[in-house]
Amino acid sequence: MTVDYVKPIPEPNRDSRGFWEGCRARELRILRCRECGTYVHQPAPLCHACNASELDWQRVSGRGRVYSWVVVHHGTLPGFSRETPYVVAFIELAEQPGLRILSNVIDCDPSELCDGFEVSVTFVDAGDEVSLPVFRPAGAGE
Amino acid sequence: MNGEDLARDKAAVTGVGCTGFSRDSGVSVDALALQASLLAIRDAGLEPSDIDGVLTYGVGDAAAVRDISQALGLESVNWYCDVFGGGSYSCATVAQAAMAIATGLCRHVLVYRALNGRSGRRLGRTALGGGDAGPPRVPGPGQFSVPFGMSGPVQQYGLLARRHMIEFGTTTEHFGQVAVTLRGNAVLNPRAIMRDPITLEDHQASRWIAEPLRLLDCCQETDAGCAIVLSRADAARDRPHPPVYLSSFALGGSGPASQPLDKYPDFTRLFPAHIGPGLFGRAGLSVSDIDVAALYDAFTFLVIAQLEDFGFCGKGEGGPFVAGGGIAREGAIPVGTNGGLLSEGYVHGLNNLLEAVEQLRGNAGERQIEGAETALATGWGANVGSALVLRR
Ligand SMILES: [Zn+2]
Repeated sequence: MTVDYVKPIPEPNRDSRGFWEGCRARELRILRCRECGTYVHQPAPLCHACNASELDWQRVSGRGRVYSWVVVHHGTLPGFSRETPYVVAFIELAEQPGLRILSNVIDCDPSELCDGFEVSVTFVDAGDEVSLPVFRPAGAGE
Repeated sequence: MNGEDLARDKAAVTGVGCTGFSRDSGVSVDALALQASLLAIRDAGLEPSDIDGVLTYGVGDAAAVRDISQALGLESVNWYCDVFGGGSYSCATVAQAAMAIATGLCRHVLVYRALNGRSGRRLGRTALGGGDAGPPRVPGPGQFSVPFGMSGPVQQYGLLARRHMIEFGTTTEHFGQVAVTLRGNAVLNPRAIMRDPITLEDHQASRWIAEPLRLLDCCQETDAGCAIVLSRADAARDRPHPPVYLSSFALGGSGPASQPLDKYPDFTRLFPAHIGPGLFGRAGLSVSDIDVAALYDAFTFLVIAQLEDFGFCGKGEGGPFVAGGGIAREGAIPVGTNGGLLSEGYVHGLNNLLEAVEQLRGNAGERQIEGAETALATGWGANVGSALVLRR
């Protein structure tokens, strides 16, 4: 474990492990219903659209648009107080209307953000075990 | 379609009590809970031995029912519950007490909430491990939010508020109007923590916490305890104060979870849109019959959202409605007549319910809204929440 990393990290469970394994492999993977094709995030044992229980991890494009965001100026979590201001945003992924994931938008002046702002995923390591999916302005390159 | 009215007016608030509100109570949470509870029991003209139901709610920061029941020396209890939950459960815990009464289980139920919300365990400061053992690990839904720096409600509501601004043109000045109005109400309230008037300029000059929400958009971390006694209607009439009946209640919304918001379809359509019609229907009232609204106001935006989704104003019109004086004491629907969680203090919503009761009793002093006969009280304000309709 890299000693420098003090921010909170995810503790995967049986439903979410595939998501975090994907991030470690630099792929954004979202559960998809085998019956009706609906993407499901956060991960769950059932498809909320048809209640089927057969879901597969599928790599998605990692492209999306900002649906809503806050600029955090007062950070209380370990490791975050020295990073303010930072952006926490819901990104609506390109694969499905309403398929949203909470993350950060980095490499971007917060004042440039707007509804529908185009972003794409990249990954940052959070210590030696976990990588987090974060988003950058589309076209900024990997 | 609105369900049976089996619970309408079967229970009434007969007693209320609260401690002083401060930043540092200097006493334990149990002491606050006991002080408020005894005041409420005596306000109802009862003794602790009359209480046969006890409930509280909290997020690991509350006084346990076990401890409070023992300290009060309760003799026989038919229903109790330590609800694990936050603001959603303020009105919901009272509703659970009403159900215990309506089903015949209980005759006099105590509901309390006490916390050292400033000097003790502060909300929004997630209790995380870490340190020598490495970075804190976050299980459950929080694994998809906390590692990104999302620590609590102010960011959650900031995300909802931002979407409202995008879709309806709501502004930070609209949020400011809520803060200014409720502070004006707190000036009339000797109990309130914040009693100095503020202006819109003060609001606009206050620092960002989670933009678009500023410091003055946030409620007051508080040490205090509040309690109410709910009594069966036939045991509520010959008490020291006029009974305040619970006409209807609900805890709900779209999917029973306030977090995560990931699957929530429309950030601008919040819990009142789901529970409002049934709530008013079961009470035999419509929204226009409500005289005062004790809306849960942990953040200014929640007031605007709830006004719209209960139907006090049109969708998207909450900002202009507030700016036009709609929630002022003399407005269409007075909101937060005690100063609310924003200025009176934050006892996880229960203090707002106490204000609604005092308004309907007609003993709110300088704050009294003349002729108030019905009230709406709410808990939380996101995709889920709870609400009560009360009448005198
Ligand atoms: Zn499906």
